[in-house]
Amino acid sequence: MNKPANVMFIVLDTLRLDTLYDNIDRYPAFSSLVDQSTLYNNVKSTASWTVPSHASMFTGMYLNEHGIDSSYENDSFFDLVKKFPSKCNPIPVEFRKRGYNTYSIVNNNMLGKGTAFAEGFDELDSVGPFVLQENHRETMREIVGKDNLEIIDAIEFGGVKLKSLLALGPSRALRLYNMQRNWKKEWKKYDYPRKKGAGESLKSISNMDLKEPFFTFFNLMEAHEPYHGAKGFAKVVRYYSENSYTGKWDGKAEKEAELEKMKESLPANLASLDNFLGGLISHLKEKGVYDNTAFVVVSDHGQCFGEDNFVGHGYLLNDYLVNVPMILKMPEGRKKVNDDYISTFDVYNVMKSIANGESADFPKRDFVFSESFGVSKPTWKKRLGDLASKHKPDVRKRIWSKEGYSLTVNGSKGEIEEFSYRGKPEKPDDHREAVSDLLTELSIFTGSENFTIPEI
Amino acid sequence: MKMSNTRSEPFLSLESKVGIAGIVLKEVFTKNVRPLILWNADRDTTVALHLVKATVENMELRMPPAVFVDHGDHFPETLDMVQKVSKDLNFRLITVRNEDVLDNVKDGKIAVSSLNDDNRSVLEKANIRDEDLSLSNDEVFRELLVKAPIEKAIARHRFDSVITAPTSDFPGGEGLNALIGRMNEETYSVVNPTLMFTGADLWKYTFDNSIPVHPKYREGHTSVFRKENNTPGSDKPAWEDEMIKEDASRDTAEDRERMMEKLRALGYI
Repeated sequence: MNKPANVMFIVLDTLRLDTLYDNIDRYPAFSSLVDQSTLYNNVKSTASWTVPSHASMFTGMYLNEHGIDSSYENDSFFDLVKKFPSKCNPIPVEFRKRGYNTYSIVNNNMLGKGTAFAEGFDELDSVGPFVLQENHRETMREIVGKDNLEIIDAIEFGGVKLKSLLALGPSRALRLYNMQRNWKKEWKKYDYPRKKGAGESLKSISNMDLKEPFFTFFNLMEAHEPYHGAKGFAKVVRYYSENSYTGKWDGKAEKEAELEKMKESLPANLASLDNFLGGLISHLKEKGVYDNTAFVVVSDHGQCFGEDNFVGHGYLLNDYLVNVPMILKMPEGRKKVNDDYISTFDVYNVMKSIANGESADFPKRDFVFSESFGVSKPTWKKRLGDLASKHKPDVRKRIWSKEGYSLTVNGSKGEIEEFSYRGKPEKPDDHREAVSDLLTELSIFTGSENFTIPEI
Repeated sequence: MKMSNTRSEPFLSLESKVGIAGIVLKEVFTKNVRPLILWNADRDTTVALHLVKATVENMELRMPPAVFVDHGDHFPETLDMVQKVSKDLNFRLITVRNEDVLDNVKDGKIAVSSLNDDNRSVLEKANIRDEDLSLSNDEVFRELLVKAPIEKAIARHRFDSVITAPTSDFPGGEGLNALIGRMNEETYSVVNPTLMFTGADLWKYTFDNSIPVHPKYREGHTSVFRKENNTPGSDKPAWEDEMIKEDASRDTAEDRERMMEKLRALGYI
């Protein structure tokens, strides 16, 4: 019987397909990995933000199946992700059942200790500035109390009023002030936002006593906002979100210039990821385990820099958000390119096949889907401010057929929002049969959620 | 009608069996994400369909899709019934057909050389080696026109549980003497909510709940699965003998008369 292959499951959070694929030759570790891997050109993420997208890769299910979405009505979203529903068999648990040692190193508290994503890991480490930031927020929440959480948003957006701070009482206001000051100093040590935890992740794995066979999960936040050289990402997000509803675009050129600067800063973040990858490969070679290790390197979603008048991720399902890069290196290592339509939920099935010692090909699906159930209430308020009470986030689903058709439906409005063939926009009326087939498939795919399929 | 796969539970009332079916189905909808109903418009799967409807209504879920296998040898009444019932009960009907086989049938015969790779692989797996095949051969009919399109639909839509009836012609269902059983290397389960229902139970449930009845049963047919070689067993409706025989074994003459009256009132006699 063959020795079971180790698995490195590396999620490059928020990394757009074009950001990596257009520049891959510039990065030695990525280039070298691709030379021994299958590079996938048509991978569709099941969701356009971190938690539901990771939930799909961890459970092998779409959003309407695992139920971890972010619907506007669901105030207890963060309680929901503390544990996967009983119908799910999370991938770390599956690896452990098969005798694997399981390790998790994450740069994002949403995937760390105390969440569903921790289940089944023998060792878990949360590192990097985002983890620090979330811990910092947690302390701030404790100081201001649950009735004053808006002050924290205001502090982060730079719009806190002295009056609201003083209303907390001098002792609490002073503690907040001191915390913020110390926190900024602390953050600078990380060279943030140029670096967001990849270096710390490498240190963490180097300190772990990896025992074969192992399954190791990384979430690396280097491509996530905010970006080096650009100020006020949150303000740009809010400008685009609000103005999409009001239709007023005064000062857009200035914001576009800021977004360009942000995009220009991405190579520095990619270099940091490349250093991580190179360091990880060297470490595994030193330990003598590289030749028996499979790599699944994938992004959970992309990022909008003003495309479709949107900045950030979540909510929409456009190409910039759901087309993601993916590299699969099996221990034997062979260079290949794959153009099939593939969904990130199948990452689960492929990893399970590796754990079973079976062939690890992605299944050819007739259809793949992405879903967005809006965004959580606090996030939506941050995006839209006072407009949030008037405009509920819409629910969307997108489908791709293996023939290359794509259709996006806004199920809150019962409207077709996008229809294309191999990336080129087409009029639905000119392809009624294809559209009708896609709508039928969407209708079969849709679970019990309230989602209106348009009539054509 | 094949009855060998039912599990006789003579001491359970129909009400209890319906209760057990409800528990089984609730389990299916709690633990699975993509169930389907394999529905032939026959008595057995139509009862299963109605049990599913009651369960999803209780759980405030949407009715799952039903897969109907169009094998090309149906009574016209079957095709009418699937359209009407799916519309009335408002569920998505997925009709599956093995087009490649149906396009290549000549006088009930198929040359294997005319079939595509998928179908040839189906025959190979079933160990059917002849070059010229006849659809009158039950095994050929079942493998190519029933099993293959169902398996394809299950894979295409990633269904993880197949709700059916033990007496229906679900491939592989034969011998699966369990309320819920794992099939096909764990990729999906087969669910038989009516496993403990006798033939008379199924008719009684049908009439008590005013469930649509395939018209061919009234003409004495005991199976409605396909037309070929399907002649009525008698000139009486299919339910008559089955219900009366079973009732006679346990009920009084008064009970039997009450049942006959009910059937007359409903227009079945």
